[in-house]
Amino acid sequence: MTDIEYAKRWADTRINDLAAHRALYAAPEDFCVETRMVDDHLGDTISTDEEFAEGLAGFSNKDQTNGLGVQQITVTEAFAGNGHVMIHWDWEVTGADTYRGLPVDGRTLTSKGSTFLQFDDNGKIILESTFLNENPLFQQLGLPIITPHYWEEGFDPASLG
Amino acid sequence: MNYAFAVKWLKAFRDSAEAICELYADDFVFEDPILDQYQIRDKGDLARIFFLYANKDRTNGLGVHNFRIRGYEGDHRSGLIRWEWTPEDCANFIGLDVADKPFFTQGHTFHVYNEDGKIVRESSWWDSGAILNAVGYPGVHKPQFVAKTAVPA
Repeated sequence: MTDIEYAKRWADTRINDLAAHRALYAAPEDFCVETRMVDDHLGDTISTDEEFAEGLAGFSNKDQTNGLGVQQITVTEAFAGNGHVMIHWDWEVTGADTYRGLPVDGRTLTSKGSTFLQFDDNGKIILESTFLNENPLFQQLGLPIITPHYWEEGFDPASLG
Repeated sequence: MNYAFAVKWLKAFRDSAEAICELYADDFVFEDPILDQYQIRDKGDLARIFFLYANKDRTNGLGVHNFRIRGYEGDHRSGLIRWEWTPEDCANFIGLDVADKPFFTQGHTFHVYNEDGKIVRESSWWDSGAILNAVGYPGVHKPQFVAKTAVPA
């Protein structure tokens, strides 16, 4: 399996088959999954079967009517290294009632994300570090988030202050 | 590369745009999608990106950008730097009024290095939602599972 194919299998099982997805990871407490800033490992780092099932359940929801939303992850790039791979992906959710508490009002939300996977000698994932780009999501929900292109020639950086 | 290079990279952030640009190969691709920075390939553009992080004036509203390394996973040809970012004395951050509101976030940066140890590919991502939570933006909740050993708030 090539690295991009592995990345696609990782994404496909994440949203379609959580048991098959779990099989990609090492034994309980031999792996960590972190999908956002870690404020408290007890709530932000998945490292047991129970946390894996609870923390990742939302990805595989297929019911468009329960308000949880149906997600899609589409792999766009994979950068393979020695015992690791960095994956870029597109993300979409439809049918969600809320996003982080904000009303979605029937919108389809789209953005991009990245996932770094580190493997043990048996090819099992021992570390997942994932970040979703939430700025476009907040913008799609009407929040006044801005990302001025201050690196472009002629932009006045003082206007950022 | 390794933890030491990650520290060198972040110290260069704080030093100057020139210092950080020296760590990149002439043929490079830099991306920080959270700030809408895609396919940056020009050293001039890169210098203007890092100008912000080298700001040393606590009164101009741009902030002093304190980064700390959480760890490095990989080898000398590619790997992930995990970091924590505490902007200090910012007036505005991604459109949010953050004056006198302490906040920090975490992120990760994937690097690919050439044979000379220069960065040829960078992909940086971070948790912007955590900042909305930290500054008390109305209505934004933190997603969180509840570990069985967690202590209720």
